[in-house]
Amino acid sequence: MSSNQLIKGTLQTIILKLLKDNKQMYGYEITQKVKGTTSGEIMLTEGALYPALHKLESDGLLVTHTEIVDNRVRKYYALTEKGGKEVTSKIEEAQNFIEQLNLLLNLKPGLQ
Amino acid sequence: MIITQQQSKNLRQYLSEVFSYRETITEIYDHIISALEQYEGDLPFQDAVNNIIKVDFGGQDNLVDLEKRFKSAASHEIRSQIWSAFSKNIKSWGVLLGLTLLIISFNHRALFMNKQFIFGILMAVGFGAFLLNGLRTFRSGYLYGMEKNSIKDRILTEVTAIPMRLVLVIILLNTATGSNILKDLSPNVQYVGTIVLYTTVSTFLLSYYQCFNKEYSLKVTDN
Repeated sequence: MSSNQLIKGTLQTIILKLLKDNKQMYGYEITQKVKGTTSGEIMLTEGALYPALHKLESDGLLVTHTEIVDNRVRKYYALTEKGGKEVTSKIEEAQNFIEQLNLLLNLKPGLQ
Repeated sequence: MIITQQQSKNLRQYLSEVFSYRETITEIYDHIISALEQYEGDLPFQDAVNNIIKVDFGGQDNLVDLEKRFKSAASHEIRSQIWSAFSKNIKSWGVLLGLTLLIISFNHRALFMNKQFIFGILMAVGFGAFLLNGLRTFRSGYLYGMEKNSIKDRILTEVTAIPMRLVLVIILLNTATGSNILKDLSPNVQYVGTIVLYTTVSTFLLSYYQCFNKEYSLKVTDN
């Protein structure tokens, strides 16, 4: 299982990307999607997800709405227009960082 | 795992004891129930719940911390939502209302600047804020059917107090000192100031209504 410290820095990017691809999702669904996509290698544990969702919501990148599903209230998150624009730059930023990290840690041969 | 009604009720009761606000209860309750529904292990209900709380949330202490952080984020969000709606409305509806009021009332400025009239309007604004607050409380309680307070209710109640503070300022201006300050202003400035005041307060109440109306809109989905 990957370290939570490593995930923390990219959690917002992961959430934004998932919501870009899935239109709207609720908290538990996001944890399961991350777990499923990474075959259980990355798990959003120890309550890291909800503070990140609430922060993104308060920053205006996400919007929420509630639905009654199976007699319980479910809160869905979706990207705002601002969030839609932010996701592209966040992904570029993450990709750039991964490339630099590769160079620093010599995980793959340099391109030059 | 199949969850019985009693187990579901016990879980909600437990979360009501841990959390102070409705939003955190409903969101964490949905998370735990969803996780339990997917759970295929042999643990009994209570142990399975404890395990989910430990793994997904880092234990009960983290749940309390989660609510504190949510409250802080919600406060920031609501204020920025209302401010954003207000800025947008003042540029469209506000300008239109202000200009309409100016055109309609320009030939009746004396009547318009009548103290009793101004008080009447401001009292109506105060009553409007009171009604909107009641409507919001009713709708939130009716839709969620819970007794716990909402983080957003509390913050929104504080927000509704803003126009009431404005009314208070006007009442203070009605005192001898306040009247002296107003005397120094020309009637035209007072008149335009009053129009701006009506426009601002009405726009604020409209923005407030839009924000909580959107917040409490619900869709029912049966899976």
